[in-house]
Amino acid sequence: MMNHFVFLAVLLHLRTWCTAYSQQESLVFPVTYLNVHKDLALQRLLVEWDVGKSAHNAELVMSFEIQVRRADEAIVWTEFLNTTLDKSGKPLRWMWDSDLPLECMSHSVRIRSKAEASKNWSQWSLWETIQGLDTSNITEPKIFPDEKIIEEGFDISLCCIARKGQIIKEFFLNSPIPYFNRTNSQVGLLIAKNVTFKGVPHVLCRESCHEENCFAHAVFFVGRPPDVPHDFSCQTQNMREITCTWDQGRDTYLYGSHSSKYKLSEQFSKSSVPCTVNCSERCSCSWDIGKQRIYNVTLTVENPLGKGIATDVFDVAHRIYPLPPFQQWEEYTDGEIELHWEQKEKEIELFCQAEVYQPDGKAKLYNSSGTQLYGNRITLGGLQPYTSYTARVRCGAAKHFWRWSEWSKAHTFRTKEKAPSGKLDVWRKITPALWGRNVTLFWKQEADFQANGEIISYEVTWEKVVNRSKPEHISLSSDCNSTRIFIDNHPYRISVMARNNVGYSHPSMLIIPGATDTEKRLSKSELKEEHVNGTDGGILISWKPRDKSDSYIIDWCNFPMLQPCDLQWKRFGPDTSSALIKSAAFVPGVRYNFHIYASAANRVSLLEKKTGYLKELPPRFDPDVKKVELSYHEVTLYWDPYPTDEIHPGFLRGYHVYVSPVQEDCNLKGSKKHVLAGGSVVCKFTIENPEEKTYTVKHLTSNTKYKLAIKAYTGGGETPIINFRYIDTPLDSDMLYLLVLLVVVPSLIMAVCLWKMKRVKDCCCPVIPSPNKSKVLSFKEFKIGTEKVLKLSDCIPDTLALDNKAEAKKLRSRSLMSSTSTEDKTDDQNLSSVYRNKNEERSFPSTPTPQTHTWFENFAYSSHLAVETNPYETPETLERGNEEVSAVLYQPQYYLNILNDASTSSPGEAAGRKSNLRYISQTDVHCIGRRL
Amino acid sequence: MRLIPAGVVPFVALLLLQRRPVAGRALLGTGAACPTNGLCRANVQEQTRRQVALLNATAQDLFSLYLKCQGEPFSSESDRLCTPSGIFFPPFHVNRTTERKEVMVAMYKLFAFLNASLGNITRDQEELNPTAKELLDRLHNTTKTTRGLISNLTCLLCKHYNIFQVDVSYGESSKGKSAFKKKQQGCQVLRKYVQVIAQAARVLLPHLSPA
Repeated sequence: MMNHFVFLAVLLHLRTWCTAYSQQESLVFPVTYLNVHKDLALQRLLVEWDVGKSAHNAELVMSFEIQVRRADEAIVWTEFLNTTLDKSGKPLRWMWDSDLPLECMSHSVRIRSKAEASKNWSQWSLWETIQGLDTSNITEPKIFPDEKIIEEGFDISLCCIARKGQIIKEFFLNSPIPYFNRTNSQVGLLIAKNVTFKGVPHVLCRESCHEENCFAHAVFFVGRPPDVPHDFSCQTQNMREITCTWDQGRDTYLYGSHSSKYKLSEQFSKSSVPCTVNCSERCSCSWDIGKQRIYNVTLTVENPLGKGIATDVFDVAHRIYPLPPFQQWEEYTDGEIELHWEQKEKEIELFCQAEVYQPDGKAKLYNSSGTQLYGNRITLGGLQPYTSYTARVRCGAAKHFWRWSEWSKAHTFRTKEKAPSGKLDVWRKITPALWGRNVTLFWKQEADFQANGEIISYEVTWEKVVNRSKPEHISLSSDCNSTRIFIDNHPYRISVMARNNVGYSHPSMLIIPGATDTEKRLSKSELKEEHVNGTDGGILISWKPRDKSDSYIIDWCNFPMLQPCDLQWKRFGPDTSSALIKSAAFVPGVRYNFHIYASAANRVSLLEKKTGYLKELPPRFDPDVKKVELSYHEVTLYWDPYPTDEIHPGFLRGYHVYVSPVQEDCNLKGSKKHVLAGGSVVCKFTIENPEEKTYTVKHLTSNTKYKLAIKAYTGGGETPIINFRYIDTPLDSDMLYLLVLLVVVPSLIMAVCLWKMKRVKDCCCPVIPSPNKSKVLSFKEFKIGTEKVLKLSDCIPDTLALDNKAEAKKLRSRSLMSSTSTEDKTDDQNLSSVYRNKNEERSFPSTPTPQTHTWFENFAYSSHLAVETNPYETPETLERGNEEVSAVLYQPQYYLNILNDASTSSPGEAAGRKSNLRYISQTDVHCIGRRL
Repeated sequence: MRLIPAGVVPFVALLLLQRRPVAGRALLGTGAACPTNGLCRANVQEQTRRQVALLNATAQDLFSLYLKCQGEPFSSESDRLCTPSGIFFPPFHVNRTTERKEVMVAMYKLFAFLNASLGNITRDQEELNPTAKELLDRLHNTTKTTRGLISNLTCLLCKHYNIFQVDVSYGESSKGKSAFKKKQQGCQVLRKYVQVIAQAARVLLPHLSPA
């Protein structure tokens, strides 16, 4: 029974729970109250609403959907808001910041709700509208916002509201800032995104009319929030006034009333600091300390876009930044200065520092030995006498040092004079004179010499080394660096000192040996003068060290051609055996003479002589050729001795002789080829002995025109060849004789031969009798008309000689074949062949002539004579080109071919042919012949 | 114009009263009377003449540059926007025949007004056209010259007429006005300034020419 009851109770509870749950799922709590306000300063909508009290009592967790709509446009904002209601019943609130000024147009809000447990949203509330100015009766167009300040990089939206019934025709920015706009409605829109500072943009809006009340104007400012002040710190210079300083940071682009405002406040006293901010390069603010010693100062900088804060907590006594020292003065000796100054705040214990600028520009710091409460001074030691120094002083708090003061004004002073220290470097030049010597003394300040003041004179004293007499003395002004004294031939001791207002330098001693002593001998002896060369911008001098020398001296003249020659000298230690002598006066092409002296106990002796050039230059002129001797194959040049003295710009090393035929390049035996500037090649002969005064060029060709030149050369080379000398080698007589032998004698022989031609001809080539002149034909019986005919029947031969016709034909055909094959070989031969054929055509066919001829065909004759004396050769043929001439000259080949053929035949055949071809005189052999 | 005899009215710093058209008395010297000596330098007349000539020579350029820097619509509609009819400007009804003393007093009033107005314009332009360096420089220079001119006129009035206090009216301050109104007011003042300075130069020169 009991169990039954429990079971029923559970069932009942479950049913109740299920009913309640299904009821909750369908529960809705619509918005009962909705109110919307606007905050124009913040451009913000303030929305307030509520739901039924039962929801508050049930402390429901609820969701709200809020929508914002602009004018008649679509919804511009939707947001869901979850909240738990409480029993207090306070209305719900929500804010919305508009990106468009709320004045521009109407904004409406509606809300619906849903309990968390419920599945259903309530109905939307009615739109609650905040009217914009577009609905009001404005008298002129208006732009919103006006004079808004926006941060760089942000967007700005502006609207221009026209009067009712008007539309916005123009709405633009008078600025290079990019933007987009919308016009032609009652509300114009203009949006600029990500704006940057480009001045203050002016916004102009115009309705579709032009009257004064059709325009609206506005500006907006683009800027930056202020930076947090950099390097903010406070300090005091006098323990009476505090000054805080800081850097402003970046430009905010906001000026005038919008510029950054600074405010200082003190946290311990909870009060603002009574100071006026002054900003130029840095900002500063000063106020009186009063009795407060510990401060916590807060600096606030603020502009319309933001603010920054910096703080500084300090004890005034730890922030002492003293004023710079002033009124410096000094007490000094020749090596020390005591620097004094004034300090404005005498009750502050200070530690000071002096900075002294040395003459070389380097600075040296001197710290004060103790604190400077009453005696403000520093002793500056280690200074040079009679030297100007510049000093300045700064101080800092001795206790709780904060920072150094500014430097005081620089103060320049000069230490006192002191007697010169070190010695003068003295040298001399001795010139023999009547009854004695002139000694020119030179001096200069050695590296370790210190004038320690103003040199007012140089004191020169000299006395005999032996038998000391009363010293002689002269005083020379400070601008002198040499003097000349006369001494006799005894040894002398000379001293030179510099003097300033305080005293003398140590004397520099010099002993002049007696005129008969070593020095004199050495100076006059013929010490060999060695040549030296310039190198590395100087002239290298080396010498053989001498024992017991305490130093070496080299002297030379900077201007050896001038008088005085500017004598220079240099001292070297006893271990030195070479030195590179450099001088700004050294120039190429000038010979400098160096004397090296060894010095021992103030006595000097000449050691070596050197002479050389910084750089040798080519000779200034060519050797003067006095005589030229010509032969068939040689030419000999004689020139004056070439000077080798000091005026020359280099040491003479020898000569070069240049030879070349005028018409061609040179190639003479024993010469070197030398290419001239123009590219022609000449022969070059080198004479390495500068003393040489003559030279013979051999292997020339006789009867030839040559050009030649001679140049002296030094270590610096030689000058270019400008002028050649021209010579013509004579005609060689031996050659003439040879020529006579080879040409004239054969010519005479030929002439004699020609003169005796008839006899020779008769001997070698007897006259061939004309058949027509034969006596046989004188008989009338043999005449047929004008022609004389010898009938065989008329002759009774006594002897019969047979002509080998076959052999003749064979020979003829061979000749023609040879001609044909040659024709095939080359064009020249072709031409030759053609000419030959013509020749043959012209030579051999019978031509009508008044004379009657009987023709005998003899190849040996016809071929040769056709070239030489063919009476039928026409002028046209003779006037042909060289090729034809060569063809003509080539014709004897015809003949040679025959010989060649003969050479290929057996000796017997050749002999037979010769005999067959030989003419047989008809005088001797009557009526033996044939008509061709 | 009211001339105040020496030593009657105590000094009130009126040059700073610029919020509204204000009438005030500017004390010319530092005391209640003209100093007996050492007030004027020998070439003060010549210097005054040169200062007026300089202002006259530079006024038109200043106005043109001002318009250019304000942008539209000032650069294109200056005639409409800059008509000085609606603003206060001290009357300057003097001509060559006017007595020299009256000319000097009118001059003083004019340049005292201009000095204050140029101060306002400079301040507004520093805010509205901070990048227009040339305009700001010219405004500063013109203000400086005006200040020097006032000093010289003070000296001349004191020296020659024993006048050390003059009633001065200042224009309405632009502070608190919209940016457009500030620009417009500056434009109106400068336009009027161009007109009046030319007249002042014509009138003043004969009076300041060396005798």
